[in-house]
Amino acid sequence: MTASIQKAPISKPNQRKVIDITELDDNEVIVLPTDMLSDIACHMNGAINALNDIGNILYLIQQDELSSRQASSMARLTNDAAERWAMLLGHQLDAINEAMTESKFEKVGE
Amino acid sequence: MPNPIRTTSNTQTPTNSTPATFKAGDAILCPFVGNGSYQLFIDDEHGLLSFIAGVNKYHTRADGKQCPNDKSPSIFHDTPANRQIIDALYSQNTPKPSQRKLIDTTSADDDEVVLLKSSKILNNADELSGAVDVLDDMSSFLGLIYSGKLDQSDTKALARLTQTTVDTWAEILNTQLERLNEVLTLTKFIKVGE
Repeated sequence: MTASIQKAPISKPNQRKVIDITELDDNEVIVLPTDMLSDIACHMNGAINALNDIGNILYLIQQDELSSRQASSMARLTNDAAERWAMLLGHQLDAINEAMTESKFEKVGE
Repeated sequence: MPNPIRTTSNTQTPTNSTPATFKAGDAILCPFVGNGSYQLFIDDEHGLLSFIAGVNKYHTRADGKQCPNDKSPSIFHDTPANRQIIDALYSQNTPKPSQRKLIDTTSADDDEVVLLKSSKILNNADELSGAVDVLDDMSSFLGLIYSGKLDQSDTKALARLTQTTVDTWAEILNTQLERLNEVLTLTKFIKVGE
C-alpha cells in the first residue's frame, strides 16, 4: 500500500493563539474567535456615531437653528442611517445569541 | 516505505516517591497559594527555584520545602493522583477549571481566539439590544418629522426629550466599547473608534 495524501486542516487547533482573560472562579466561559470581538466593537462604534449624529440634529432642532424644510431633509437622511444601523446591530445580536444558546443565560432582545 | 504515525509517549507520570525533587519546568500544585497548576523556573534575580501564582512569585527548594526546617514539602508534582488527593484535602468552594462549562464557538481554522467569561459577551448583547431599540425609536421619530406629521413646537419638545436618551445610550455603548478595546489590544486587531 502506498501512503495516501492526508488532508490537513489549514491551521491546526494547537497553532492557535489563545488569549485567556478569565478568572479562576469563572464557572462558565466561552471561547470566541477574536474576529467576532472585533466585529462587535466595530458595530458598537458605528452605533455610537449614528447616535451622536442623531443627537446633533435633535440639538439643532430644539435650538431652532433649522428651518422646517432643513429639519425635514436632515431627518430623512438620519432616519436612513438609524435604520441601517439598527439592522446591522440586529445581525450582530443574532450572532451573539447564537453563540450564547448553550449558555446558562437567555437570549437577548427576543 | 509506509511509515505509520504512532506516538508512544507515556502520559502516565508515576506518582512521586519520597523524597520528591523538583526542577525548573516541572508543573506543580501548591494548595497554600491556590488551586491551579504552576510551572517552576529559575528566578534570574536570585537563582532560586520559583513559581508564579496570580501576581505573586514564590521561592521554593528542590525538595519542595519552603525552608530547610520544614517537616513536609509545600509543593507537589502535578499528577492526576496528587491532584485527587489535594482536592480531597483542600476542597474549596471555588470551582476548579475542570468544573467550568466551556462553550466553544470557534471553528478549526480560527487562528486567534479569546477565552472569556460568558457574562461578558452577554453584556455586549444587552447593550446592542438596547441600542437597536433606541435606533428604532429614533427612526420612527425622524420619520414623523420628515413626513410633516408634527408641528414645529411638538418637534422641538420631542427632540429635547429624545436627545437625553440618545446621549445616554451613546455613553453606555462607549463604556462597553472601551472594555472591548481593552481586550482587543491583546489581539491582532487594533482598537476601534479612537
